[in-house]
Amino acid sequence: MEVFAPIWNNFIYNPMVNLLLYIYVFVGNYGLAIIIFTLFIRLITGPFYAQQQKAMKKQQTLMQGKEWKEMQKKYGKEKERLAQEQMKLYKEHGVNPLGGCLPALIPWPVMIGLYQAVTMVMGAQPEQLMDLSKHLYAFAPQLAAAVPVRSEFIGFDLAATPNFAAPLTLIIPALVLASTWVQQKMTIMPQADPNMASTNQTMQLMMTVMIGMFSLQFPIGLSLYWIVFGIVGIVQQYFTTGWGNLFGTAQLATVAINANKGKKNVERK
Amino acid sequence: MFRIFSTRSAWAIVALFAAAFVLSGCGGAPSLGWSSATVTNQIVYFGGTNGRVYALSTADGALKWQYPVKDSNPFVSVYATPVIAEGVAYIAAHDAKVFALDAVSGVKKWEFATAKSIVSTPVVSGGVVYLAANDPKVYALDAASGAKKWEFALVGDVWADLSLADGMLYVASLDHKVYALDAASGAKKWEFNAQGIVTTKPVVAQGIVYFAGLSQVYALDALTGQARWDKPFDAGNWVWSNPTIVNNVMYLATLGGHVHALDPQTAKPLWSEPYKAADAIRSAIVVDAGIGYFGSDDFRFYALDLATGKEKWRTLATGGRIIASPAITEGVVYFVSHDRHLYALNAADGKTKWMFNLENNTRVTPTPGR
Repeated sequence: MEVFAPIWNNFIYNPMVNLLLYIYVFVGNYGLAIIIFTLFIRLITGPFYAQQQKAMKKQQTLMQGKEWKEMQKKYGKEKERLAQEQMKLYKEHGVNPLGGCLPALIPWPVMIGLYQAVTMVMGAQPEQLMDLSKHLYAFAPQLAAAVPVRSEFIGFDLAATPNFAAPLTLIIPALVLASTWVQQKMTIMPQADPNMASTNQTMQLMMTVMIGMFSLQFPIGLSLYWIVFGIVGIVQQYFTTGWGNLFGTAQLATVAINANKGKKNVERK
Repeated sequence: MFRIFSTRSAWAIVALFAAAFVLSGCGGAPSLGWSSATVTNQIVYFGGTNGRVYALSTADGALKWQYPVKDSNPFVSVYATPVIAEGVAYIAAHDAKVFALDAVSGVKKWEFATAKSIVSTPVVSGGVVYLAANDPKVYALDAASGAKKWEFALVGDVWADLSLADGMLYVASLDHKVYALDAASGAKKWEFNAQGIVTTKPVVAQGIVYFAGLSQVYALDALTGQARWDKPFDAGNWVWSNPTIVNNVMYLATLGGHVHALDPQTAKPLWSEPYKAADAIRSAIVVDAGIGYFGSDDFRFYALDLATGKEKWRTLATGGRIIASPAITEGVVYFVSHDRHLYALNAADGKTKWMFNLENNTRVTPTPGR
């Protein structure tokens, strides 16, 4: 960690903290600065997401195709053989099964940096504001002079956490939940394997609940970042793969489950 | 197929938990507080990093009392240093409350609630408690009953300790200003606009008030607010350390880890170069017998020979950053580390006499050689 920290600070964290503060100095509103900053970072990391989504779309199309359905009919009871045939099918059509995962991992450090920068600049805790001095560029004194940032945005205190005593603040976690859920639902790929479909659905639910729990405990400013992040993701996803699985369930899984049930019934008879 | 998908599922689940772990750790620095220690009548008082205020015997580190009491919920955190006056301990919690406790027994006499959190250390004088909260307001309370005498509304939060001298209350704010208020009425006498947030206590000596805004150190006439130096002293990095003035020398430290010694009349540096610690210093330089004591973000505690600006000793690293100021009495230095211990060191050589563990409220005998 000793070696990693300077690399992280110099190449990811410090540039982000200073850029975010610079945007704040320019627009004079921290909520607006978070939105612009998140959009900017999403723009930079956009190509990686697009690549991921295209790979997923390709894989999805293949899984809904005739060839795959025939394979399922033919090797439905031989799981290992079916897996081998599936890999062959992927190879023939130039699909890398990990093609959807790897590009998605590349922007992760940037996203974590963005998340940390939003928290640090907000200075909700005295220690955070104190530590900010270690990350500001000395050649831009106007950034230090802008501290502390004004945390009011459309009636919300971005440094406060949502609480039940102020019910309006609960809108924020609700929006976080909604945007995360929609994005997850759109991204999820229909699966032929009912086990996998079930795992995906559980993970989608877990992820949504987890982010929702975080948004109840973290300052509203962080949730604003998460909402913008989610909405941009939804728009990006729509233009790449359409609504995806938003209005349906894991259709292939349903087909597979029904097919399995049908087979079992035939066998019993 | 099952094998491939299960591997991918496993990776996805690992990634999900990794994300949860990373995000939960990304909420920023925890709010542990920076309450300093203070010693009165052989009792060391301090706000612990666990959200409780403690009173320990200086003789053996035995626990006299804690507040909130055992088995009740601790405060969110404590930034303000306990103030002891006339047998009463005044403690201000980050949870937007100030309490008056019997200094010997810890029994509550009264409490006063503010609308928002308190970071600044109050000042008590002439039967009045002056405190600043992040409502943001300055309050004057009757020390005996806690009844409000007056309040003064500000624009920004106040994290700096308050200062009282010659009937004037000096308040430094995150709104980049320092205010001088009439202590009797709360009426504003003057205000001064610094170049940035002011987080150091405005320290008054010989009719001059000293404080720092970001990296600039200012000296103002205490009565009028007029600048006393030709230009502010540039400390090179943010100053969050309260200035200390002893024998007509001002000592202050920066978050860049430098310790400066200045002539308070002219701002002229008195050492050929500032002392440089390994990391940031928020602690004030507490002076005793020509030695300056302070803690640093590098987890170590330092002693400097103030005549030369050279290091006398430094401790091995504690388990956490030391951002609270120390207290020194009868050759023993007391300070709180973010490793959830209070340390009592021999001022002469820096050897640990005893430690108090805030996790289990027990005195700990140090490892030989520490």
